[in-house]
Formats: sequence, structure tokens, C-alpha cells
Amino acid sequence: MMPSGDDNFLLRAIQRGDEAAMAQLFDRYSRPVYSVALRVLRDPAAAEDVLHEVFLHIWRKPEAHASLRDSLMPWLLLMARDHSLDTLRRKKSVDSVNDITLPLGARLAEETDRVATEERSRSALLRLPVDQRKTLEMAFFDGLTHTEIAELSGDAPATIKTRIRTGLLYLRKAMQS
Amino acid sequence: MSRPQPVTAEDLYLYAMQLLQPEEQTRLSDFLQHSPEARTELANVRGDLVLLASTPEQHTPPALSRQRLLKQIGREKKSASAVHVIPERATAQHAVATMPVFPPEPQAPGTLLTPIRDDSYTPSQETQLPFRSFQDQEDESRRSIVAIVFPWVGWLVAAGLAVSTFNLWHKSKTLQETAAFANAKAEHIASESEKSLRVLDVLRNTAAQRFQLTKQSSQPIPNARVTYVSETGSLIFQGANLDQLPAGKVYELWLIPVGDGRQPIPAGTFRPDERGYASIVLPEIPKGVVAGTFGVTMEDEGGAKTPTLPIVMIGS
Repeated sequence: MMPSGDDNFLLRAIQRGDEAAMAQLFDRYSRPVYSVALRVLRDPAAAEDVLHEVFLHIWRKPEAHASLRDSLMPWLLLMARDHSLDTLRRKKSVDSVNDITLPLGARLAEETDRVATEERSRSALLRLPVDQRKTLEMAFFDGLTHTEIAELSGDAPATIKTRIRTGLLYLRKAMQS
Repeated sequence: MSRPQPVTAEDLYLYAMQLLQPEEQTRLSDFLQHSPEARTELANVRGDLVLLASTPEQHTPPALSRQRLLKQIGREKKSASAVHVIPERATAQHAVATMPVFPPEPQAPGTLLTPIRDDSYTPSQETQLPFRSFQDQEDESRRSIVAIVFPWVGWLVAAGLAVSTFNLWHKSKTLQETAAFANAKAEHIASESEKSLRVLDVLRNTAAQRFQLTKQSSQPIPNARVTYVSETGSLIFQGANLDQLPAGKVYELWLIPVGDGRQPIPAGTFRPDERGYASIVLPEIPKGVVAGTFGVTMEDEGGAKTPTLPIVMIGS
């Protein structure tokens, strides 16, 4: 098993042009990255393109993630989501920043921790009321704005905004409990 | 002017998901620059989003996606290595290669081959590299390609040089022609300029001999000639046999435009020399004024803005 903080080690090696380190990083995170892309795009070929883009970005700009705290996975997941939505919208969004603070109890550096976090998050999401869960998924995975969701659901835009926030706060608390 | 909307906690979530309108996104970006607390909360929100991103059902990407990525980075590395030399490369390669490999998916025995191409580092026999057999195959195929391609390289280089030499010669010829044309033009302009200066000198020179030809045995009378081009506002005035002026007085030439009620435009002052000659060359007057006629009045030294009657001379 890899030691914790190993992503930093791999990133430093990638900065020196080490292809083997890149292969290891791909092996470690290609599955969750591809899964997010597939969830957003629902198209295996398009999801594969996003997977390729995301890892190619790391190869080309590893120094952009030099201040990584623990694991590269949070940034990878959000980038996979943003790139996938860019593919849907055919436009370029602003690059995500590295500053991501995971809730206490959410650990992603080790494979076992990742699986545990995924299961707890999934379980917490399923415990949300259906309309709140759907709102979160429409906003995050489908890239719909709160006004678009309000139009589709018939709820007030302010309600949708509150639903998104409280839903994500619930996930945070579920990981801390 | 409307007051800006306050930033709410809900807005941060939409901002983190990039779901705000561009102007709202910019407004929050500005706000975040000045609020450390908001930046901290934004990092927390992103953490929440990571949890949400980890909820989809997990799928393994197609096996070829890995190969595609490694081929791409191999190509990029090759092109970059032609320019950059990366220090400590062998050390890093060795360190990573000796680490245990952590494959994402169980694979069939014998297929644990990570494609890697490395021109600058040869692993020792003791080093356990799971990539070696793939690398050997790649090296062998690369050598055979080099053996085929190498004899043609010289011819290709020669052909490339011939093409680039022809291009340079062609560019040089074009530049020479352009330079020759520019030189000829400059010479023509210089010649014209010299001629113009000579004309001006003749007109302005007080020592120039001037002859007024009139009908034989007739008395010389004051007269003047104005040559005027309205389009450019260029004017030349030449007077002859003009009466001498009292002290403190000058003659002033007036351009009288076409059309009723239009004010005369001053076109310069002059004093005739002892033989009654005077000239005005290219005074400052507005362009595009069509002249009905010209007149001359007597004014105080320095000229006037409006003519003082009587008109001493008038054009026909």
C-alpha cells in the first residue's frame, strides 16, 4: 500500500518528466475520475476524452498542484466534473483552484479510505429527501443553474438555493459524525 | 444607481459549482479577494462538493485510455526533451520505478506492463521494473525504424536546404526591387522639392529683377496678380508699380468668398519695395474656400481682421 501523501511524491516525479509516475497516478485515480465524467456525460467515449484531458493537464502543469495538502483526488474529481460540463456546454469554465478543505472524516489518500468515504457519502446522499437529492444532482452533475432547476421543479429559486446549501451541509455533517 | 446585492452563503455554493451568471461570478470573485473568511468557507464548500462527486457508481475506464494517455505524454516528452535537459531524472525514475505498483483493477498474469519510453535512463539488472519487457520491444522496433529512415535523412535535409535557399534568394530579390523603387521615388521627390524651392526663391528674392511689360508708350499703373488653388488653400500674390505707403501702414490682401454675406478672409500683409514690387507666397488661409475675387486695403501695421475702406485694388 502506498504511504499517505504519496501524491506529492508522484507529482514531484512528474515534474521531472517521469512517465512511470504518471502511469501510477493514472492507475490510482482513473476510476473515480472516469466515473464522475460518465455520470455527467452519460457517454463512455466522451467520458474517456475528459479522463484523458484531466490527466494530460496534470502532466503538462504538475507545478500547479505543488501546494497539494494530502491527496490529488479532490481536485481531480472537481476538474472531471467541470471539464465534463464544459463538454456539454461547449465552453470553457474557469479552472478550479486547489484550495479544497475536506470535511473531517473524509480521507482520500489511501484506497481503503477512498472506498469508505465514497460509501459514506453515497449513503448520506440517499438519506436526503428525494427532491433535495435530485436538486443537488441536477446542479452538480447536470450543471443546471438554480433558476433552471426552479423552472423544472416549479419551486422558487430561493428555495432551490437553500436546498443546495443544506443538502451539502448535511453531507458534511454526515462525514463528521 | 442600484446597490450591489449582498453575498449570501448560498451564493458561495453556486459560485463553487460555477453556476452563477458571468457578472455574478465576477462579483463574487471580487468579494472573495477581500474576505479571508469567505475564502475559507469556499474551501469547505469545495470539500462538500468532493463528497458529492464521490457518490456516483464506480466504473472502470476502457483499458486503451491508459495506453492513449501514456503515448501522448511520451510524444510530448520527446518533443520537449529536444529543448530541455531535466536534471536528477535518473534518480527520480529509479525511485518511482522501485515503488510498489498499485494497479486500479486486477489484471491477468503477465499483463502488468506499464508502457514507458525513456531514452536517457537504462535500469540496472537489479532494479525490478515491471515495464522492462515493453520497453525492450519498443527499443527494438525503434532501432529498425531508424535503420530504414536514416539513409533518407540526408536527402531530405538536402532538399529542405535547397527549398529554403531558393526562398531566401527570392525574398532577397524582392527586397532589392523594393529598395530600388524606393530610391528612385526618393530621388524624384528630392528633385521636385529642389525645383519648388527655386521657384519660391525667385518669387521671394528682393534682389530679383522684375519687368512689367505693357503697351508701348503707356504709363505704368499699379497692378497685381493672384494665383489661387482653393482645394489646397495655396496662394501666390505678386504686385507691381504699387504706391508707396506712409509709415505705420501696410497693404492687406483679402480673399472675398463666393456667396452673399460672407466675410472677407485676410490673406497676408505686404509693403512694396522702392520699385513698387511686392509678393505674398503661400499665406495661411483655410482650405476649400472658393474665391469670388480678391481685394487690397490699406491697414495699420500688423494687419486687421476686417477690411478698412476704401478698397485700393480689386480683382476682376
